[in-house]
Amino acid sequence: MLRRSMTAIVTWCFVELFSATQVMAQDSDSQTCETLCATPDAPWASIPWELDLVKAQKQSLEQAKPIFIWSMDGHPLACT
Amino acid sequence: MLKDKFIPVAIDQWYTRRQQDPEGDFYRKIAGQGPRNDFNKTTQGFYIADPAGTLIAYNNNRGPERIRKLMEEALSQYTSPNCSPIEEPTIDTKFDPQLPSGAVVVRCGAKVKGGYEQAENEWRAIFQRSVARDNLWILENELEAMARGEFPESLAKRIARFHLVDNTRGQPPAWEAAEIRSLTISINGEKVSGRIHLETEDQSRGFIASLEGEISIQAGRLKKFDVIVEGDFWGTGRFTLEPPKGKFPLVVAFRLPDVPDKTDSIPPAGTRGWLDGYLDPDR
Repeated sequence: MLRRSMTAIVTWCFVELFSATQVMAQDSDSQTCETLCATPDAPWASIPWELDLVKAQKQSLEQAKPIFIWSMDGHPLACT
Repeated sequence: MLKDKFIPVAIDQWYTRRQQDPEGDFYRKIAGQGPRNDFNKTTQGFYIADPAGTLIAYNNNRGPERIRKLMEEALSQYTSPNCSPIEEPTIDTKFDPQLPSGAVVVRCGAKVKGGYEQAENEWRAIFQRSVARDNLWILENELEAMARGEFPESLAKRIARFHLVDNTRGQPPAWEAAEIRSLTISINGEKVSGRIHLETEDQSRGFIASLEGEISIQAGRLKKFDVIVEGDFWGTGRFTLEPPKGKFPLVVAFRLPDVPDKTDSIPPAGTRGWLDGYLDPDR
């Protein structure tokens, strides 16, 4: 259940751009590729996510900010 | 708040909790202070920590307001510790799959196009509308084959086994080699087409689909890879529960990134724990 809850958060992020199922049904193949594969124009995608925890640790020290870790089974930004 | 007040980092903890290197050590130090401190199991969740590795807050709740409150509380008590950066990190190559030399990254996305019953709540509705995302690796020799007008069998099998999955509700099972019942993909000029039949031995999960698209390779470089696989999927996996009943329409699309970004460096889900099998899907 917890695993699915985390997945839901990711899914919720992705879905902001991709809610128009009916529109996609009318797309050309090229448009469908664009719709499903483009970098989403969604709030989560505007976050400057670091992918390396060691680099994040260094930035945290330099900028005196805490580290926020989004930790999932499957990468949060892909492979979900 | 996340942009301005935190250092946001996104990781696949399946790798990080196993890594025998400074990154893995740092993650285990943080996660070990939380409720999910058995590193033989998932440790997923949201962690807030300082650079000394002290856990400030943890939650695995999906409600945005709960997470916002967690962040605000963490900020209110935060003081930057006196510690050193992790220096000259070594990398545990066992858990660091790298894109092979000469290979290219193609993005893929999957969506269930219909068949769901009315969602009982908004979270269920989100699952039903979701688009899953992954990266496909195409190897150098496979690019060369496509430039000659051949669709390489290794690429066809990699796509079939690791990417023609319903990953819209969580981590799906990949297909076993024996579950490829039939697979034909051919190139005619820049057009590519094919038929795919994947099915488990007990027939509880399957995908019968057609493939269409356009591929362009100029001077040995992949310029276009717009490919769509669409068909009827049925069944589910341990972590992809509550699919539509019976057969339902699933579309999986592939495209070369128009504008590369850092997510292109994330290895395909299918490489996790078995890079050799992903690269050589006959194994």
